[in-house]
Amino acid sequence: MALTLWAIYCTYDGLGPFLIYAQRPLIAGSIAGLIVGHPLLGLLVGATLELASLGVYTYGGATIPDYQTGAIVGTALAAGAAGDTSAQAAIGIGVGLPAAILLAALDPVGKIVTTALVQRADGYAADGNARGLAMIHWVSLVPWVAVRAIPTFLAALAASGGLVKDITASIPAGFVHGMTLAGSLLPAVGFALLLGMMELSRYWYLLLIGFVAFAYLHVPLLGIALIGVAVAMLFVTLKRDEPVIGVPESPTEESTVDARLTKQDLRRVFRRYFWSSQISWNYERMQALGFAYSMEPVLRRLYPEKADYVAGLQRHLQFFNTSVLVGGPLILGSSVALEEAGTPKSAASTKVALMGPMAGIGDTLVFALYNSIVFTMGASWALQGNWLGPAFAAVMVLVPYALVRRWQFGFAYREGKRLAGHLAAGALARVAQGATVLGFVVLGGFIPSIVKVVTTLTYRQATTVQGQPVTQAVAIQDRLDELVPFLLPVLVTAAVYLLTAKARLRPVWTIGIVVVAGVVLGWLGWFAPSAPAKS
Amino acid sequence: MAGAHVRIDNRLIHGQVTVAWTRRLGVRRLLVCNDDVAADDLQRALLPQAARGLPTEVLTVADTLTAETGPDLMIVAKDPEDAFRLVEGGLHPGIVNVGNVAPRPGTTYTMVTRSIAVTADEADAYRKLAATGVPLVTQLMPHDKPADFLPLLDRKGL
Repeated sequence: MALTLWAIYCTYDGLGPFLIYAQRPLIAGSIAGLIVGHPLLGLLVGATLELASLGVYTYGGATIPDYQTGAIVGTALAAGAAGDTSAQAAIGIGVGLPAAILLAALDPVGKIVTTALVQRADGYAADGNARGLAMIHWVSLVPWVAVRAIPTFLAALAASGGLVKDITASIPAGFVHGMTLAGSLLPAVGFALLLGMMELSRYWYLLLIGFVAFAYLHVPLLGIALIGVAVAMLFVTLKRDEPVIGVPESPTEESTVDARLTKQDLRRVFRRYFWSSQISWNYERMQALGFAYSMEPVLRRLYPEKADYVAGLQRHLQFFNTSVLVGGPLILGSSVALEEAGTPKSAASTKVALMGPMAGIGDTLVFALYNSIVFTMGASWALQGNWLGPAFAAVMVLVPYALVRRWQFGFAYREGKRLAGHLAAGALARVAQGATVLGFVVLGGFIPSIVKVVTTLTYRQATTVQGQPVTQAVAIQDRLDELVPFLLPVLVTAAVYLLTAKARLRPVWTIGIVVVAGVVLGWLGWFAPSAPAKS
Repeated sequence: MAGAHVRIDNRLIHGQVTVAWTRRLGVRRLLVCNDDVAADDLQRALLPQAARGLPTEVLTVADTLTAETGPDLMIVAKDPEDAFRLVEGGLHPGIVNVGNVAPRPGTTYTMVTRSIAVTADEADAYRKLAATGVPLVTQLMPHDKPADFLPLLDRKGL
């Protein structure tokens, strides 16, 4: 029951407030581990699935593996498995990963329901029925929650019986070794997908900075992140003299604006967006219902006439999709200001103009860069059994994202139409470039530190010891390390990148290949996550 | 005129276009084609910033017809009427792909696919476009299977 409630909360957090980013497997799995009484297991399963899913984010609502449910289900079932924690973790990953992929099939089911619901919202809007609109918005959360909570409930049910222990006791040790290796290779998938999202051909050399810092200078990850910030600032400041695009301002328009909204109105708008921006996401309009629901208190205040109020609701029920953490609050604040200024056409035009750029930049900043850095660092600590991992990630999303959203809304509201001028002047491009540079430097350090693979193979070499001919075994890994340290992790990541970006294999297939290869090679004993202790 | 890739997408420039399609097709330039958008200072200034570094122009239909085309160009038309005017004006795309057409509240529309809403007027425009002989397909993402568009209209009785 507690697990089911946790699954419900994880789903809501990922659509609404993003308080602790509970939909991410690092958080979902770690707390699930606490709930079932196996905290270390939850850390290991959650962290591994987290690293496998780094580059997997939805574009335009595409269905992706349900890693949140996979982490919870994997942890719950593995807790009932035979063996020690590391064996359980391997089983947890072996269960959680296919579960995440298979359960993705339920995602469209939930979205089809929300899509049907949004058409009823049109009827309520045409009647000026705000209560009906709000009901549709919040009821839309139910199908989202159902497709994730029900599998979790069923898994918890299965785990409570003794069946899981009996089944897992018969799993051969070779498979467990193989799954452990597969788990340590999966981060290569996440990193390769990230590289595919970024402009590798333009910035590839920045990867070398992070790699050298880690592999040769032994700089810890946090240090590499700081180096990345410094390099990013250099890039941005050295290009500051580029010409700016001028957007004509309208000073006369400003002077005619008089405040018609109260601070309470503004707080209500922001609060609605903060707590529920995407809970009614649907194929037709995507985020539009959440946006209209957030705007409703302002429209109510500004348009006493029903016809104007209805037109306002319909205006904001138009298709809308952008990044809800960086971008969405900006557009919301701008829309409020422009509606208050009596320029509803500008409000609609600004939304359309901004949602594309803000989606591109917001998604890059949030998913490809900030989240990936924060969750990779959190996951690397979690893999060592350190609770600092999920705690760090949760705090690093809770505080900055709450502050950044509030700031964006207030800034955009104060700026009104001038907001677009700021953005057109190149602020967006500079922020995006700086963030991309930071991402590349840090990624260069992440790949060798987190993708763990060494070969246990040896070859025979004839030599002489004190004049006597002797054949001795030489570890191939030692030779590779002399050549370039961490060469295998780099090669694995490069191979996976070629599979995804060049061969254009879908992420699910790539994950499957990596898991199968890992299980086979690990089972055979030719490769392992780390070198065996030397006697 | 030389060919160019043409996509109908009233979301204009967004991740599906800039990340997925431009790579698949080898696109190096984007062109947003719509008279209203070209007249909107905000959109003309901001849309290029959504293109993640690709050179991007925002032009009217008439200006698009005089612009330089080529296999490295993707033209994003906002609606089927614009695409028809381009073809009527001499553009010869090898294919026209209908990507996203989000519904507008207050209009009467039918969802033909998950991401494509069609009104009666738009259905006429699509048929007019197809009558020119240009293949009309819908393929949301490169890894999706392309589908002929007119049969989808027929199936919905449009």
